[in-house]
Amino acid sequence: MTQNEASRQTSASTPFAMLRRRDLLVGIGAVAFLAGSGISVDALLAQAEAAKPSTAFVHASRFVTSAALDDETALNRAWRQLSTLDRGFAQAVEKLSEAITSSGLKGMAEFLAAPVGKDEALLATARTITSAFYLGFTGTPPSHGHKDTTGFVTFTGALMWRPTIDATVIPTYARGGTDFWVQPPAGTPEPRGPQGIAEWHGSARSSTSSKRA
Amino acid sequence: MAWLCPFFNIFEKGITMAETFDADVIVVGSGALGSNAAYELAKAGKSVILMEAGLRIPRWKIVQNSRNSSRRSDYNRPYPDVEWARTTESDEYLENTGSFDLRPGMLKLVGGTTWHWAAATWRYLPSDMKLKSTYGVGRDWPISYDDLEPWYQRAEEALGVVGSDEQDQSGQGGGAYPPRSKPYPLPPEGKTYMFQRLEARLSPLGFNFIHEPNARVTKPYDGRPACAGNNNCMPVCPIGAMYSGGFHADHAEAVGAKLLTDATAYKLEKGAGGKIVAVHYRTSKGEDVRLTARYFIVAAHGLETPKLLLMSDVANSSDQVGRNLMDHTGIGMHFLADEEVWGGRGAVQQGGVFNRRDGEHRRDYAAIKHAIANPVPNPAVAARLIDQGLLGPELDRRIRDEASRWVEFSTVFEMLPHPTNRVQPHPTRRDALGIPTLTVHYDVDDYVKAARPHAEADFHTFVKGMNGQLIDISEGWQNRDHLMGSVIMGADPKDSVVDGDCRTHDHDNLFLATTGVIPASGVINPTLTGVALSIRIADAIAKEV
Repeated sequence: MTQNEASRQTSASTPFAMLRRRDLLVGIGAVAFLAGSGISVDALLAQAEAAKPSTAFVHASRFVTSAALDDETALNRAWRQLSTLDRGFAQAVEKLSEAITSSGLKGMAEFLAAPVGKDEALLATARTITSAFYLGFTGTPPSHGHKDTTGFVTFTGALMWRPTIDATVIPTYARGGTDFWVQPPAGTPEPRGPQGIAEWHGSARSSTSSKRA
Repeated sequence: MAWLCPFFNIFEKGITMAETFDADVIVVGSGALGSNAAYELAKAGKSVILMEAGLRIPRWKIVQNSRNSSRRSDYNRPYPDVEWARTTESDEYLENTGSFDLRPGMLKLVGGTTWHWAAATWRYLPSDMKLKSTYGVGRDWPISYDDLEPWYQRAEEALGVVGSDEQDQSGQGGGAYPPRSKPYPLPPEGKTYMFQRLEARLSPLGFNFIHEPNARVTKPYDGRPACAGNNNCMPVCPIGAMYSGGFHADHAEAVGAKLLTDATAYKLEKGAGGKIVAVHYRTSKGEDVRLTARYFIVAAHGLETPKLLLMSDVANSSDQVGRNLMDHTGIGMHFLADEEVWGGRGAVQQGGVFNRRDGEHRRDYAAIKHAIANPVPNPAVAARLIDQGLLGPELDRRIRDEASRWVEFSTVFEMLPHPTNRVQPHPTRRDALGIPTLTVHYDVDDYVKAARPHAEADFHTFVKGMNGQLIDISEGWQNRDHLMGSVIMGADPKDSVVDGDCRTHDHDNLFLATTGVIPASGVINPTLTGVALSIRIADAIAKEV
């Protein structure tokens, strides 16, 4: 975790909200710090427990995105940040999870086609979850400035990369080597109309251009 | 000194005078321009101090910050923005009073803002540099293209520029242009499939597609690996294939330059005979240091350079310091083609349509450059579809479909210099060091506004030519982060700040290495020109020291 990431996370909620039980139990130094701080270990453990995603959130998120979402850290981030942005989020997630379970539907496509999938409140919660895990962040980015409600969820795990992962890279994770981009991805239909020119010196020029000698 | 009174009131009991250094030349600012000047001078055997307000950050940290950012479209986000070295990211850094919110993405760290750029390294055209003489608008440069050409070549070799030696970069469909004394240092990268498809279908409609010379090397060069298409030039190249000023800050140190970080210059001290005798800087700990040198180069970008001059009351007998501020104010457009073009493979941009870069129309409206943007489109596509309410398997299907057909044009206009468009030290706001922040007044001019309908007409032709579906044309105007004009170059000391050598008219040992000297903006990214001018400055100083 980078310094930036850490600073954003700690500013997003209480300083110890991200600590998990095992984090708190590791290290004499940490215990000594807590003893010296006058902060109750029980209180911190309770906070840490509260920061863990609810079963309903994990269930609903996996159903809505059709993804395993086995990155516990990303789940924790998304849960904490969405709960912070919307105090009614936990309750909304419970309703969505209950609706999914009671419907007995097997996937999101069936859910959307069913009457339950027309419930605007449930759909709004599903969109919030989808946005977090597809885009990899929560909140609304400002045009500039430090005031910020956004929170990082995941980068390589963002589900928006998934549909094109055979064709485009996740930025900073290139593969294929220099000039791989000259050819289209495998399976690209042969285009109708004029054929492209791969060489720069063969670039087509307009017949209407004023030619410079 | 008037600007600094509030600071001294705060710190008058706590000022410490740290160790000072003397040098032949002091360079203020370690971006691409300052670092190249420092390197050339140190290489020539001169003692050089290179000052940087920010810190030195290793690439791996910036890359990790980039990956972990919750604001990935904010290219400043992975970089430090500390209270004692604010960047344009901060509300506190810059107040706008004009109709346009000018907010370029400038950085403060060793290497400067070329940590995040698309590495476009164009040369100006001869006509760009004689705009007034050729088209009757704006200003002429006091030097010609031929005067600058040898330094363009050296700048291209310094940055490892790749380019086509056979294209007419003016966009008029002729032979190789502008003239070159030598071939590009490196061959161009392969043409992206998207570029091939757009060119194949739109060039028959009369559009000239031009490769963008750039500083992403296509083979190992100066310790840098070949570009592998990480598609992350902005906010940071993860492997250093793309040039940044940090390379030449390193090179300058290797040949003996002294690099000072956490050193914010706040005053140039005048001495006898119109000379600058010292620069004063302040550290984050509140230490004030005075450094003396025989020559000074201020390379603190197009906003900070005029601020330092105005705070110091130097080089401003013309009253032009901070005025004539220009950006390549722009607009953008997205559409879906009727075929799979697969943008996002390769670097983030590669060239575009240049028909309106030059021509008689510049008498009436601004030159126009249509650049084809090439970021992996998934973030924009997915956000749009989720906003539309798509969920489940249909969302995945539509992401793939639209990402494969997504096309983005990023268009810029030529701006003219106007004295009313200006940057100044803020009259009341101070940063954590007690130094004034910035205030900017900027209005987009009628020359640009008159060009917009022509650009939008081109947009619609592009969409029609690709049998496409228009997504949007941006409203208002967009920043392009190309700061020019703010310490304008000219032959007449009465209406300009520096001469054709970038030497201030008022102080013969003070040079300005910034794109802020550029008096006629054209439409091309000005960094290469800035580096060429900086190397030229170094040569001039080396002869005199």
